[in-house]
Amino acid sequence: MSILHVENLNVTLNTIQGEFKAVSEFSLRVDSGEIHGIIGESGSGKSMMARAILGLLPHNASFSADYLSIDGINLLNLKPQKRREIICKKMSIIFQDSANSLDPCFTVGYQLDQTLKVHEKGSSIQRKNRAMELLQSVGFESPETLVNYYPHQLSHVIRQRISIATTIASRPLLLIADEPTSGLDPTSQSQINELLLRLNVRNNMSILLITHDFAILSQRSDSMTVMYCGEIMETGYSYDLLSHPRHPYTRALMDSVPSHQHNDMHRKPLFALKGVVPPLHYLPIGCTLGPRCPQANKTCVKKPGLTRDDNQPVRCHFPLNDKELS
Amino acid sequence: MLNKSNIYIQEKIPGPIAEAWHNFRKNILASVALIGLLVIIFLALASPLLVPYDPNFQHENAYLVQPSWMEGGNPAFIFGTDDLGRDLFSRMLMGARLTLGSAFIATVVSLSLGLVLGILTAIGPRLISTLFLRFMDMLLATPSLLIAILLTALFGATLFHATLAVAIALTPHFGRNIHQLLEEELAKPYVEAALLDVPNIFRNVFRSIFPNLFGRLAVQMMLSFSIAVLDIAALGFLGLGASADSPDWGRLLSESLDYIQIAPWTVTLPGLAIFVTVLCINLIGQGLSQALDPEKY
Amino acid sequence: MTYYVLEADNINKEYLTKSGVLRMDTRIKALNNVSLKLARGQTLAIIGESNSGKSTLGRVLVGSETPSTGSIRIDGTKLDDASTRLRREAHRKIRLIFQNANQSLNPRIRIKSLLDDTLRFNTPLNAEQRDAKIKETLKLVGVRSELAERYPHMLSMGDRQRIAIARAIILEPLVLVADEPLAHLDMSIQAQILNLLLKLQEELGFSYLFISNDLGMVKHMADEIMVLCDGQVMEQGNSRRLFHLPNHPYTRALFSGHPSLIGSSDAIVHVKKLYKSATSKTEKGCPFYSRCPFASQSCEKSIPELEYHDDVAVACHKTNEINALSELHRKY
Repeated sequence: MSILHVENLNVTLNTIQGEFKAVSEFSLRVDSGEIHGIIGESGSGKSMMARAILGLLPHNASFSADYLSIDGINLLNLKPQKRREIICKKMSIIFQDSANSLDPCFTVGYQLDQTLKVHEKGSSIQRKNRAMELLQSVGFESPETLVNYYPHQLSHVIRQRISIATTIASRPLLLIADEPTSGLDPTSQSQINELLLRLNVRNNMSILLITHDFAILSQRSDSMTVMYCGEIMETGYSYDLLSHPRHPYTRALMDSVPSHQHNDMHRKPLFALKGVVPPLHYLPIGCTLGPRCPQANKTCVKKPGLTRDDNQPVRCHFPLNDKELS
Repeated sequence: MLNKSNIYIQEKIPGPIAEAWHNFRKNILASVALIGLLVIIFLALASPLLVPYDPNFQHENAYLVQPSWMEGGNPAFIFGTDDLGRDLFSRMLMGARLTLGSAFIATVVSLSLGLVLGILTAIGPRLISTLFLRFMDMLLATPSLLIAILLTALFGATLFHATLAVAIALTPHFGRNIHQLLEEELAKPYVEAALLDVPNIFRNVFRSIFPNLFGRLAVQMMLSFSIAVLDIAALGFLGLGASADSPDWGRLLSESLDYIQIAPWTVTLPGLAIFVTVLCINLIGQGLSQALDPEKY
Repeated sequence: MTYYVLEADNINKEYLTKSGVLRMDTRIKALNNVSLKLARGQTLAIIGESNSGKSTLGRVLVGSETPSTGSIRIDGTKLDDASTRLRREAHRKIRLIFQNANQSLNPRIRIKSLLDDTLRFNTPLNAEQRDAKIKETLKLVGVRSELAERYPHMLSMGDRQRIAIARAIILEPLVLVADEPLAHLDMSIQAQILNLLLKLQEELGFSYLFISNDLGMVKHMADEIMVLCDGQVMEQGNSRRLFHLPNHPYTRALFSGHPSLIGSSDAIVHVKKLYKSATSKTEKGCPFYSRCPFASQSCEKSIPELEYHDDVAVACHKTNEINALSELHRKY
């Protein structure tokens, strides 16, 4: 059964430059215990999509969807109050700068306790035990000393871990991780990634992992979605998608990351898409990738729909096939 | 080959000044205030040409004439006359000159002094920096009126001394603020980059940092200007500022205070003038800070 | 003998901070006896965790901070006993590409006058020559010259980073210190900038000091690698060799999240304690001691010296032991 089911989600932003869609026709299913990766550049709408699902959109944004359910409960039919309750109980999010989400005025233990008060019933001793358990589950061997520290006394990674502990305090079914490792050094990156994986395996927690790291997706994720300018470009099982990308954009992104090359490319120029990601209010006509696509032609001024190629939805008039790859 | 700009739709991004002006114009209240202040400044500057009468001429048989729009008013005296038969409109116009002029001078003087102190304390040697910072703290702790009273007690009550006193009182505000702003900017990477290019800190303060401070300094100037107007008027009211034959708005207020029962307009109108001017200045200041930093609001 | 454009010998950098209730002065060692040599056209990558002194090393070398002790030699000029004028002259040959072009470009100065200032104060060129030089440099980094009339915020992120590179190379330096030059960019733009850096090196023969957290990029770019931990060199040597088989447990731990990058997967070490504790900092021992799975008493007592094995230098008391272990691992 799918934990999260989204059909045809649209997010509209209203800014000084006018109204435009930050996310359009977005559909997604995340199964129980699955890690689903979302990959895309800035402005691809990946964060907006996550915020729309959680009801955390900024005030100048509005969203519409055909269907939005979590754990089988259709959120669209609910009153706002009830919807918030369900979202709060079933989902959690880790932001990129979650490390700074801790209040500098209170100790780590106090803050964790406050979060637990909301989600758990029970005495303060029970809560304390649960807090220790949570801190242990995010990889602290001796959390007893840690709870007395103030956030500024701890390093960035430790704070990031603690904030993960607070987000999983509600035992969510789905954890949305919005670039949890960007800006961290290699060891910290792998620590956070290991931690997410452990949560996934031990607690059977589904994870929606928003990232721009192909390596982590190929190692960890079950399925993935590639986004560009608010649209799904391609989606499917990670193994299939990464071994045989259908969309030229996926291919281009993979080719532009040196750690994902098969043969030795040392000091050779990488493949780079021309130009820049267009601003959302000046999207090109037709295929959004059109002006940057290495194999665009006349047909591409018509907007491609999300078609199934080999049971793998892809938004391109000319999906790549395997022969071209070899 | 086609020109690149024809393929991509180019996005027009305005420069910093154009952008600030664009944001400012959207703020209706601030725009109205700007027009209001411009009118007031124009009236003040052109007052010698506009005044219908000599402000000190005492019209016989026209004592305490009501403003023209009231019953018993005389169209010849738009704002009425005071107890000695002097035309209030002419006196207020000339007063605007004095009040706004001296407030402006006080602001400019304190800005220049504040710049010197701010720069000195931000990039100067530690001893000098600490010395001046504590000195400014001392000034900040002294009420501006007290400084004015001291000055006038020593040198006599004139508008010049009142202006000087206000300037001295405002200086530490500027100095502290500029010091703070410079400290903030000096820690930013673009200054480090500029120092690697041109290792001359003085030049970099003026060339690299100041363009980034203009907006915030302008806001601070508007705030100080309004404080200066109020202070000058207050000193005039207390008799520590302008002399009786060339009265500013504060002096006008205090002169007619005795007649507030029988001739309320002689007090209300100068008071209203001060109120409107300060309101306009503050609205512009707020509009400016919003225009320069739209995301904060 | 190889000619080195940049030589640094035993660089130490200490910061004084006040801490505790009594505001006592405490010394924090940001760099501890770091030495490096950089030949023309070579790329030396510096990797390590955050707070390992990577950025400090870069800033010391470009002259934005002075080392506490140690000597730096740029293009043959020894900096410590040089006059101010000579030192400025030498520092023109080593330039910094800042991490975030958003912050390093002055938001209120047009690109052109920014570059013009740099030239005016560092070269004897006249206005026309400067103008020509700016045009030439912009062309080199692939920015249309009409964009020079703009303010930084009017440019795309990629173009801003190109301008930051233009600013560094406009004085025709020998060494470029690039501190995370790609960290804030999108994937497709990262590749563009990386290609640009490679092209510039090819054409103009720059040496790079490449500071990065992205091991993929490091593997792609670097000839040599230096691994820093708490300001100390843990391992240093040929990039291919190091990526094929890292020796130091710390390096292995750094690579642990990216098994695809290194040659033999048995080289990965999973460290005991995953996080660095904020309080316990070993004063005299190996900085990796508290987390190292191979640590013994000798590691706690003394800082290991850099020892050369072929073309890789390792600072570890346990090198032989670990090598024997991986040998064993490989056999079975």
